[in-house]
Amino acid sequence: MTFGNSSSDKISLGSMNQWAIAMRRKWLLAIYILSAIIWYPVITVVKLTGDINRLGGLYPDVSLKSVMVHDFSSVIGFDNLSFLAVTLLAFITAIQGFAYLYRRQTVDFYESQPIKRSAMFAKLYINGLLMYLCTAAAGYLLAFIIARAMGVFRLALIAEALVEFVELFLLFLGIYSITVLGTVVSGTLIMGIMVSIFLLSAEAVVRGLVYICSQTYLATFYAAGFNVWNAVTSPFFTYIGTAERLGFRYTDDSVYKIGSVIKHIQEAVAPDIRLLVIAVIATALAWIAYKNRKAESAGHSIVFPLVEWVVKFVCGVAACMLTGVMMDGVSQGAVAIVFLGIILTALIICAVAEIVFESDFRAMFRKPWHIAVVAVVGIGIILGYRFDVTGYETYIPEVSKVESCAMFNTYGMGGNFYEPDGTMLDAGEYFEKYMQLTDIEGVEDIARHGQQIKVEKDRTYRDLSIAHRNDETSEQSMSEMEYCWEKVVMYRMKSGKKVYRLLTLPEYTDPAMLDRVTKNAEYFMPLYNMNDDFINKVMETVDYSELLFNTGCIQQEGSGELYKGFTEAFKEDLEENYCFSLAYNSDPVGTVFYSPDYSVTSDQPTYYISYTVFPEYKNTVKFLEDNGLYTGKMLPEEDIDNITVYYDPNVYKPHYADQAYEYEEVREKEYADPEHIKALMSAAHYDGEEWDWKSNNYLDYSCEVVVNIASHYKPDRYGNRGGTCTLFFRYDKVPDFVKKDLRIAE
Amino acid sequence: MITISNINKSFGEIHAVDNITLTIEEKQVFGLIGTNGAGKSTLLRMMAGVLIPDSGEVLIDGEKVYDAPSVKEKIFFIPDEAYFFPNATALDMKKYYAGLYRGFDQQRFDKLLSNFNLSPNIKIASYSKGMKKQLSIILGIAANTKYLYCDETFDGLDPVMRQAAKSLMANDMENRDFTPIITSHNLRELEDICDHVGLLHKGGVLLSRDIEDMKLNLQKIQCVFREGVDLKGVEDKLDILIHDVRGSLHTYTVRGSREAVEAIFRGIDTIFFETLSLTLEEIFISETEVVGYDIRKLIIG
Repeated sequence: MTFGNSSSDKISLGSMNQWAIAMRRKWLLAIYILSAIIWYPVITVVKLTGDINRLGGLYPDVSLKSVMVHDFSSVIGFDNLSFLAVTLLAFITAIQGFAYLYRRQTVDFYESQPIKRSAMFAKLYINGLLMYLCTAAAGYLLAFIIARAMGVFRLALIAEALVEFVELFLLFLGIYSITVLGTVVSGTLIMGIMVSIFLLSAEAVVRGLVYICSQTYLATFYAAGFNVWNAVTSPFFTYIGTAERLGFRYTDDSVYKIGSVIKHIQEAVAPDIRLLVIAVIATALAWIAYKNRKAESAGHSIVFPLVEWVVKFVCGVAACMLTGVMMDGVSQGAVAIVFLGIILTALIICAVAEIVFESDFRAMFRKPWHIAVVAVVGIGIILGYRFDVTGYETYIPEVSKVESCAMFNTYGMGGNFYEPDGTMLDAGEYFEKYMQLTDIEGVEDIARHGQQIKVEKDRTYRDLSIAHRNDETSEQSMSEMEYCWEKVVMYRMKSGKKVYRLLTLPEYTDPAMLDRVTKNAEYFMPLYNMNDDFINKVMETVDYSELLFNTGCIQQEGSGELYKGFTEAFKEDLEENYCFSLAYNSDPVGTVFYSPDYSVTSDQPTYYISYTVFPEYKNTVKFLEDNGLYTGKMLPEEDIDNITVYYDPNVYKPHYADQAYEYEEVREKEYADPEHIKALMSAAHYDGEEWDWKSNNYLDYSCEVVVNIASHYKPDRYGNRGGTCTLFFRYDKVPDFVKKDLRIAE
Repeated sequence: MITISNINKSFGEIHAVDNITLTIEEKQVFGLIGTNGAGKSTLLRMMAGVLIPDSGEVLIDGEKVYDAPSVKEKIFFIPDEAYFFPNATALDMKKYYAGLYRGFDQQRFDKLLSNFNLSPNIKIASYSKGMKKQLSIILGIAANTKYLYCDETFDGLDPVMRQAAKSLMANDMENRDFTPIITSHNLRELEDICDHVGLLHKGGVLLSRDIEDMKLNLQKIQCVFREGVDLKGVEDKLDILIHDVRGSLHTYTVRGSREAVEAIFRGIDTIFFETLSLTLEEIFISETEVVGYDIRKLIIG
């Protein structure tokens, strides 16, 4: 590497010097050039030529161009694995650039030369960045020239490429800066690599361990609210997060539009700034370390004792946490075994660390107090989790510090949820974003109750697991516990932080407490995706859609144009009726499904939204009636050939380990007389999987009511006639004649 | 002038340099002698601004050297194992150093390379160890720096090449402001080149003298006394450092000017006496024995 002399009139600190440095790193430069050529221009040629050869003549020109644009986008945009190559290059470049610090020969060579150490650091550091920037930019440019020559060009592609270029550069910058730091604080190549990997991944590993411990010990810990990979100090994961936001959605709903690129850039700003700040901090620390690093450190594993201690401490404590969790599981909570495991782990990790640092087996127990500190901290953390010393399980934020809340099911809710622009979100994402409950006190009352129950239930479950660890009855015993709803409460704190807790709400929960929160538009509007912007957008852009009313047996199909009218009626009903008590007690009469389909002319997603209709929803029922969709709760008796009821006595049958299990045959009875059919149809209900606030005991799944629909019944839209549908009785409401016929015990 | 004041340097528990104070005058060849581990290289690396002393200071022409490019511009450091870029040729290294040192004389480099029969275009990796040392010396000379530090650069060079390298230095000392500082663990390597020698042992300086001064002030006399001469009386008049007797032949190494010592011997009834020239080795043996060291065990190979 060449360094100029700041006091020399023959040498400048400019590009010539950088070029000279690059020339001293020829093999690395060759890798950069090859990577850039292969990744951008060569793949562009291969892909676009392939498209022409494969599709030319088969597709109309417009479609072929569209495919080519898409393929070119996959070369220069987010939809590729270039970030892996960039990560590797940044790592290698940083290590190679500063590896001279590891050999006395090279240290003597460089450090005796007339150049300021600050200039040497800066020039070396910048050289790595320039190597990447210049080769990548050249690669991009060549790719665009080739694509243009082959007729593929759009302004949005340039925007997309620029966004990707900046994102990849920030990824490079972050990995490079942290690796430079790792290299500079180390004294040997192998330690440089190890410390750099440690710095790049330590936070993610620690977050992973916190996640594991929290899931193991904290009953109210909501796993989905904790992003393990959201490690601030790991540029790799930051990039993945940004690319996921920018890339994977980018090609879905808004292909190659400048507007969407700008929107996505806005999404990337925060993580990009975070990445930049991390890179700047890492560079500043690397410079401080470089400045204070003594030349005689070459060949010593770690240059600064503090780094040695931090690496040993973090690795040791992390390993102790993992051991603690594992031993706790294996030993079924035997504290002595857990402690022993942690102490042994601390001993092994600290000993191995010392052997690595000193390259001497005799150094393994050199600092026994380190072992003690690591073991004590490891034990402390596991005990802290186990006995909830931080009060995590009982934590309820102060009302004044909460902006708003959300409360939703842990397993998601029925149906799909959409952003106003049509982007599909999963239920958790949607409620986190759009459910904004401002009755904080009401939510906290539920949370207080739910968290307590959750902790008690988990403790009981754990105790039962331990008590019956060799006993097959454990599962049965646990299943006999009363039915509960598993909910998540999320607090949006005024500080910007989000706090999550899992709740368990048993059926005996005070309905008034639940009604207070649920009888509120802030709760039920998002619950049913009632967003005017979304509805209007759907109405404006949809090509073809259907509105269906399904009672479990009958499905009446209507035009999608009814959707807006339906939502207005449904909204009124929600306002008037919806609350926990209604959803819990009332028997739904059916479900309305709305399904707009864009797939005929575009690649927009197909929506699928469902709305549970209760008999109390007068406006909705009237709207459905007015539009010929509502035909009553069930089929008319004359449209039913017969009904067969199957009773499976094994469904709810307890299974005890000390008793031989006896399988009983499924019993069935066919009813064809109108009287029985009428009684059965009156008692049976359909199973709407998307229902909220229904008890597990709502329907009796041991009795299946299979309705054989008459062949004269009107055909469905595909021309099919007749068929069957399956219904269930409500729990404990099986008609007496069925009980008698099928010998169902009380 | 290089002024080293009370410098200390430790590597962990090893005290490599122990409170050294030394002055290196300009336009003289300064030799640093010491066993392996005596602290020669550590001292030189501190003088080159590679290492920072734990305490004390190194001043080159009155300025601190560490992280001072303007000072380092006056220094060319040839470490004991010189570094060349992988796959580099002599010309590559010339180009590199020419970009670092303003005074680098490229023509002279080419000429010297030719004189030393070193090929400019073959990879340095294929050079022998001696050839690499020659190349280092050529680069150091061509750099035209005021100070040239050679860390055991001459050790292992064949006599012809060593002589050639020494001639080069002598030539430069005559023609410009040039001060080579050469370390070696073998006194004989420096005998015919150094003007001033510093002897390092266990991190400290045992002595630092001008060779000429030492030579002028130390005399080696061989003589045979006639019978009846009062030896005790004679020896009382001399400042004897070493006295060796083989039969009737006495050999004295004494402190004092040649004239004064010879005058003493002329006044004694001897069968013959003659003043012999002292080798550097003998000077060192004499000087260090006085302070209780056996130099033969330390540095004479």
